[in-house]
Formats: sequence, C-alpha cells, structure tokens
Amino acid sequence: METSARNPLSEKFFFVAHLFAGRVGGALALAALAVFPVHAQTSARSSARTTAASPRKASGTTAKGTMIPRTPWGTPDLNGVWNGNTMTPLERPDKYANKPFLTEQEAAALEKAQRDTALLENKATPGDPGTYNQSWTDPAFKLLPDRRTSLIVDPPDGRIPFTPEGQRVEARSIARYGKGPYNSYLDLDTGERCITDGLPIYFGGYNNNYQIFQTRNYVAILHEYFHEARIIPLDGRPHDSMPQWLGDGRGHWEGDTLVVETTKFADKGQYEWAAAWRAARSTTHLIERFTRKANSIEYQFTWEDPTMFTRPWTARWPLSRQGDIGVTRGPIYEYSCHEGNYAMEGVLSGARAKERKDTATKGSSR
Amino acid sequence: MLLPSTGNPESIWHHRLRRVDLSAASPVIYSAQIVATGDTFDSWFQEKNTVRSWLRVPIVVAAVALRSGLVFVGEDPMSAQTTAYKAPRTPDGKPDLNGIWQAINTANWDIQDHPARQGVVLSLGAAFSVPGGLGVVDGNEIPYQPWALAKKTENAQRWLTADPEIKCFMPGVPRATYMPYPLQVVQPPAPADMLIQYEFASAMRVVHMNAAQASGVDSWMGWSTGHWDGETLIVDVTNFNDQTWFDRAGNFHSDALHVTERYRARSADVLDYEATIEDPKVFTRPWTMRMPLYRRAEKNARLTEYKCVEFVEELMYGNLSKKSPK
Repeated sequence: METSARNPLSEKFFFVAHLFAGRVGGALALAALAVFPVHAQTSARSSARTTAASPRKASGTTAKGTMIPRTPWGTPDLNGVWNGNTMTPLERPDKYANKPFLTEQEAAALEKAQRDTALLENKATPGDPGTYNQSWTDPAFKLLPDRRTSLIVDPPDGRIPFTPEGQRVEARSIARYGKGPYNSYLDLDTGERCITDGLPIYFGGYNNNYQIFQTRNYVAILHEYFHEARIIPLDGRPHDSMPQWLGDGRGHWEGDTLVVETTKFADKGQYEWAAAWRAARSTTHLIERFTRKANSIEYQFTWEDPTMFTRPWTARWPLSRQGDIGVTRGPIYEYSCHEGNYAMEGVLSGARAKERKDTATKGSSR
Repeated sequence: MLLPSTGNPESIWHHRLRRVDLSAASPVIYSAQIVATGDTFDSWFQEKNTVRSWLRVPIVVAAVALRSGLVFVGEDPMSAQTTAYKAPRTPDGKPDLNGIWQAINTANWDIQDHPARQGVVLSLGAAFSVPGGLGVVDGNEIPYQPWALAKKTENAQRWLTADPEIKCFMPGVPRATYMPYPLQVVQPPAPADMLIQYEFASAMRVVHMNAAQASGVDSWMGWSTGHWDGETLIVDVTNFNDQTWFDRAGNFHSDALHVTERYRARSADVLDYEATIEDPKVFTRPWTMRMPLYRRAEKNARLTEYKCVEFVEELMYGNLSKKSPK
C-alpha cells in the first residue's frame, strides 16, 4: 500500500485546511500547515520507554460507583452540547506506524507545542494575504486521554483500509484540493458549496459543537456546522426507501449504549468531497455507538463501503463538555453558510479572471 | 347534552364561568371549566348571582359546546383559553408538543387575504400560479409605516429576484412555520432545550428553555427563548437580521423584529399557533398572525431532506461558470 503521497496527518489538516481555504482565506491553510508539522518534529520515536498508557477498555464500563445521568424513562441522558475535537488524527501518522500509544512525555510535548503555536501569524506578502492566528478557529489542544495515536481502532494499524479505487479517489481529492480546476460551482466540494460534509460525526477547524436532544422516541443530533440535525426514530420502525445525503438512521438501545444504524445513503460519489472517505454512496453503511459516561459520551463509528474500503473500519473517541477539553463554552450558534457564501463567488470569479488574463497574455505574445 | 336536572346532585355538571362579555352581540366566553361537584347547578347560580337567569340556558349550551370542542368562540382564543383540552404530559409535567406538524394554508404566498392570480413563470401555467386564500393576520391589516408600505409594494414587484426563499436562504420566523413543508418539534424533559427542525433548507431553531443564555449576534432564524404558561409554550424570538420576508408577497421586517409565538394544543392532533410581530422601525403597532398546525398523522411520518442549495446554484452562480468554447 503506497503511503508516501498520502500522509494521514496531512489528511487531518487537509480536512481542517479546506475549511480555512473555503471560508476564511486560502492562506490560512498555510497556518495549519505551519502548525501540524511541529508534531512530527517534536514527537521522538527514539524513546525506548514502553508505553505506560493503558488502552481504553473496550467495554467502556464506568468507574465503580460512578452514576451516569439518566432520562426519566431510564435510558442514559445524552442531552446537551458536546464537543469532541482532538489533536489526535483520524489515521495513524507514518512515523507512529508501530506505536499505537504515545508516552505521557511525548503527549505533553505535543500539547505544549500546540499551545505555543496557537498565536502564530503569517504576515501578508505580495500575492499572499497572510494568515490570522488560531483565535479565529476552534483548534484542539488535547490529545486523546489514552494517548492513542489514531482515532481509528480497527484495523489495528490505525489506517483507512482503502481499496485501489478508494486510494485513487482519495489521491485525486488531495491533489486537486485548493487547486481546481474551478470551471463551475460543481468543482467545489459539498462543504464549500454549503450543502453538507456528510456523516459521521467528525471535527474540523470550527463549528465542532453538537447538541443532542433526546425524547423517548427520538434522538436528534444537531451539528452546528451546516445547521444540520438528524432526527433518529427509536421506535423500531423499519428503514424507508428514500435515499438521502445523510441516509436514513434508526436507533435502539443496547444496554446503556445508543446504537444508530444508517443506510439508504444517496449516491453522491460524483460530487467533490473535502475528505473523500466521507462521500455518501448507495453502498455506504454506518453504525454509530453512543455510550454515556459520567462526564462524556464515548462515541464510536463503523464506516463501511465496499467501493472504497476493503472492509468496515472503526474509530472511537470521547465527546466531552466544552469546558473539559478547553473549548470555549457556549450554545450552538447559527451557521448561515449558504446565505453568505462569498467564497464561492470569489473562487469562481477569480478563476474566470485568471483565464481572461491568460488569454490576453497569449494574444499579446503572438 | 348536559342540562341541569332535579336528580342526583352527583350527576350534575357545575359550570363555572370566569368571565362573560355580555356586551357583545353574541356572548364571547373567555374561558369555561367543567367541574363536577356536589352542588346543584341552580344553587350555584343563586349563590354567585354572576349571570342573569335568562342567560342561563344559552350559556349552558355554549359552555357544553365549547367543552366538546364543537365551537370555536371568540376572536382571541389563544390568550383566552376557550378550550379546556389538556395535552398529555412529558415526564417533567409539561404539555407534550412532540411531533411532526404542518400548516395548511396559503400564508407563504400572502399572509393577507388574496384572490388567485397568474404566476410570473408562464411556462409553469396553473401548476405554479398563485392560489387564493384567506389571510392569517388578525384584522387582515398589516400596520406598515408609510415608507414601509411602499417598500412592500416594491418587494412584491421584484419578487422573482428579491425573495430570499427562491435562493434557498433560511426563511426566518414565523415564515418557517407556515411554509408548505412539515416541521418537527423535539421536546426533551426540562432542563434541556427544545429543537424545532424545519424541512425547508434544513433550517432549524433551538428553543432555549434557560433564559440566562442570550445571543449578541444577528441571525436569520433569530434567537429563541421559551417558557411555559400553563398549557401554552411562549417563545420569545429576537436577534433577527433584516434579510427574511414574511411571505412571497413582499411583506418584510427590519433587524428590530421581535416575534412572540404561542403554541398550544387544541386537541390531540391540532396546535393553535400565533405569532405577534413587533418592529417599531417598520410598523406602527404590534400585529398578530394565527393559524392551526396539524399533526402529520401518517404511520411513519418524518421530515424529508430538502437541501435546496444545489437547486439554486445555477441560478446564483451560473454566470460565473466557464463558458464552453463555441
């Protein structure tokens, strides 16, 4: 499996950077580039100390005597605003290929470096507007509590098990990001078009807040990003037949874990997606698990699509109250993306202006 | 039909009238509560002496009709609580408004009375001409300031290019309520917030049940704070921008808009909804819209995605696409 052109760490900051490029300014992506390589430099693989970190217990049991909040009808209470942003990337970076967990010292060093670079700015230079610092975004400053080096827990190597077609799609997506061509609105990704970033739960540069509303018969998961709410029935009704961007979700409780199964994704593979693995296809299948802990929700997703992946793969990490992970506390605010999508106009008119300039230059050189 | 009799006191219903407007041409009864007591009907009238005996029978008839939901009396039913229906309760003792609801009217075309007329897109013929309909505005009058009435007329003439609905922009409040799509109320027990999800453009509102949270920023759907007043959910909506319209007829507002909504169950499958509009920059006084919201009673009713952004991109950005070489 080729890895040199596909750096999973880069995928994380690409996901983040695309948000910057689309909506704040392309050069802000450079700030993300400036920040992430610091991790690669400071984490020393040469440390001979075996990891003292204990892996998260698979069963996710609460500590003895810890009570979890419950709804009046006895199920765990998932209501509230949650944030799961983390420095840990989805895929294990190459340099950690044989290192599923960081040591305490390595993790502390990475987190310190993240804090130290949060106020970096790049001054404007001719042709480059420069970048703002991360006060304008919602970056993570914490790694996973158990210091695992990827969110992916299965396959054990922490990497997305792409098929050859999946690798091709992923490589193409990374290669064209921020470069185009931008012949029309179809050439921007679904997020830049303010349609959706799809499923499952994930985190980027901002709007990482989720609010869950829970009744006896429904769980609604509102993503601040794209003001998108999934309203998931819990009453055992069968899936219906209509394909949709966010598929058709059904939830049920297995003990204290809410299991949400989503099928009937619409075929959206022909669209551009910021993170190619998230593209919805009719072959996509998603299982999510929400397990309430005393102060967090353990979130797990299993994503399956035989077109893109050789097998289902699983990622897991906690959703926390904002204050507990250093995120600014607050309610969900309105995300009116399409109503102010100046980036769309800017990207397209800029591409047309460049074409006119190129055509004029060719004409004058004859 | 219940009428007082001289029989067993336990079988007699005791009608207690809170307020009776005897000056109206027909009695406007503001509230009625049916209470079964051991007192006889006759003795109650003698003790209270609140109504003349010659009104006893029509009031009894009217009260019984109200109790059985047959009559909708009065011009101000919401705040006057003409119906005694009480919705089932959520575990925290509040009326349960959970469900999928939809308005059935033509208010999204025009919130005032309007006859049918030709649509502006000729090729859509009768499929997209303007249907006629009764308005939803109390008194059918929108109290515009003079400059604002001219602006509304101008909006109506520019509808095809100016209505934010056409661009799949979020519709604001209360328009989102009466667009021809369902909405879903997700109402957890206290202290959690409520979610109102609209099918159009995936627009949504969080109704904050903790008034301590306040927003300082403008938005399309406003900032909603809710509290209960008996059977009625009252939602206070502020922090609007000036970008949304009330309908396709050009009715509009400024960023000073303040909407007060009331939701109250009239029966198991119908809500009474009203929205009072205050905007001192545009109107000379507050005014109110009201309409029923009907439960979508299909077995597996649900909201369907209407992510309309991609339906309007050619309209909005098509002129910026690369032209094919001729």
